[in-house]
Amino acid sequence: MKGKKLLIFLTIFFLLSFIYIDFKLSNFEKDVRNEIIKMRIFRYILVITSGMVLTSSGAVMQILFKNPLLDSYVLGISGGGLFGFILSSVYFKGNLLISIFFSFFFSLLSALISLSFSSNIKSDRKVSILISGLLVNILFSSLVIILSIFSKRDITFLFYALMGSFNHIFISKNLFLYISFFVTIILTTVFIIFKSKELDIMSIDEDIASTSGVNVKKNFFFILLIIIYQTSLIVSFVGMVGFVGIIIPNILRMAGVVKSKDLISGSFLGGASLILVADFISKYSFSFEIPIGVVLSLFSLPFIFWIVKNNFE
Amino acid sequence: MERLKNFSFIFLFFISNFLNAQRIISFAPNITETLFFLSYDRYLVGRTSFCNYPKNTEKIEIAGSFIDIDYEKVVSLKPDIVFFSGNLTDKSEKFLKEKNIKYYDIKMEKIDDITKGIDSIIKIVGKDYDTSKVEKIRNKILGIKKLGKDQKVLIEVSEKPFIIATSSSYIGSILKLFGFKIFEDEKPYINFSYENILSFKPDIVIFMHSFKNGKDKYSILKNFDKIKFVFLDDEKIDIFSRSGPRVIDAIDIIERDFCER
Repeated sequence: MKGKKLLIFLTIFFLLSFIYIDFKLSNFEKDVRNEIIKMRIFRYILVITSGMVLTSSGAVMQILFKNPLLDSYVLGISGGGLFGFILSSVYFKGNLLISIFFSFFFSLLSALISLSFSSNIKSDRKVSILISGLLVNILFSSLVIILSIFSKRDITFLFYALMGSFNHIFISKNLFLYISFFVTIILTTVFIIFKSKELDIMSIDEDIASTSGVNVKKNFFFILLIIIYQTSLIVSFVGMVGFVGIIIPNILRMAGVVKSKDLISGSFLGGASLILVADFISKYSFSFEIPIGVVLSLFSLPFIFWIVKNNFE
Repeated sequence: MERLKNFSFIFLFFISNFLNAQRIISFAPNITETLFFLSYDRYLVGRTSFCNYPKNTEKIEIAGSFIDIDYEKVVSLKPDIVFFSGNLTDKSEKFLKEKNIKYYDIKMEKIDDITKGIDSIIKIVGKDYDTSKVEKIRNKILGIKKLGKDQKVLIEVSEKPFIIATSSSYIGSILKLFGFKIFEDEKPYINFSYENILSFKPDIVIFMHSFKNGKDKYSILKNFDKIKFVFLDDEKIDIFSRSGPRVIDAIDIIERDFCER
């Protein structure tokens, strides 16, 4: 995305951001407005970071697996991450660092199980990875429900964890950790963008990539590891948010974006904007906040049906 | 001179009350009812969308629902005290601690907890109240007579899934005081089955939901024709599920509608 198009897109994005933070602010008394703005800015950062990470990781996974229907949710990584997060919050009483470590460990485990399942399914690679991801997701979602029942969690917690919500409570004493996580996400994303040339070659053919001097296996697992880390981090804050990683990269491809670098960077803006709008709807459309996953599913399903129709004939 | 004295006293009383004005949010309908009952509604600035009794609650701003709390609203209402009644979640606790807002979880699960709960609320709010009103509740509960004659009462809370209220529930604890036999369990609400109906053999079935065909399943019992079925309307359902000052109404309803004289 270059020149005029980028400018229009950025203008829309900043307009959305302004509406998101400023919405009905005048309804609040002057002395609490700053506090409300502070709360909204924290949430806004979480929303756009999640949108960027989930969408770009979806784009990268689609390149790695040559499958337009993949993202961290479909592969079961989110399910594993959520299970790890809840497991640690039960045993370690909400220590954020330990929770994220657990979330990362179980995300990694779920990805490995998915890959191992898919290699044992005698079917087209595109289909087998989807089926195995689906099975792993069901497995970990069920484990999350069982764990929540045993730990006597309230049902609303489960409701929002399984369908995602940005209504996170930020604790001021954890500010340094939040900044550290944010920095690691930026650094790892920049690293992936640096690897986009290799991704381009890998997306064509593995043999061509090998003869071009690209270490396919090493790159594949290293990039996958980064995606797992990023996803587990987001899942620890917002729960399971699906489909956004499928929609935006596919829209970009439809718009003629082919290069990995453009696809990933385009996914940043697209993902952040989509999640921003979805969160706005989830926050203000009813008298209570509905999970973000509900809004995204309603938006995404017709589009996903269209992708399946065109890719799995 | 006496008049001036009285006037000064009343004036100072109002001023002191105004200066010590508390701002309260209630996240439980039974607490909201209790605050109104104690005339503490003048301090109430927020409630849930479920708090609908008494009618004046409509004037109070909604700060949350049955699903989640509107945290922005809570901040904007600048509360001094936030009340819960067994529904305080980890997330809400984290938020209130972060914002340095005092919060209290007043559990009033059974009939015995009501006066204790009211006393706790009075102590926390620390304002004057009508002592005769609280005494009336105390006396009403103490005055309950065993009119139930060991009749077995089954309280249906929902049809699908089939859930009943046990002796540990609020309504169960009231009926138990009246001498009715309620299904015993540590948990206030449990899943029930047809096998349980056959073994419990209720004499009275109370429906706390609106599914009118619910009584069909009791036709498996030999004494089906003798079973008394009681369908509670929405107002009565609220009275029997919100442990608070309307316990007086609950006791009156049981004496009037459930007990044979």
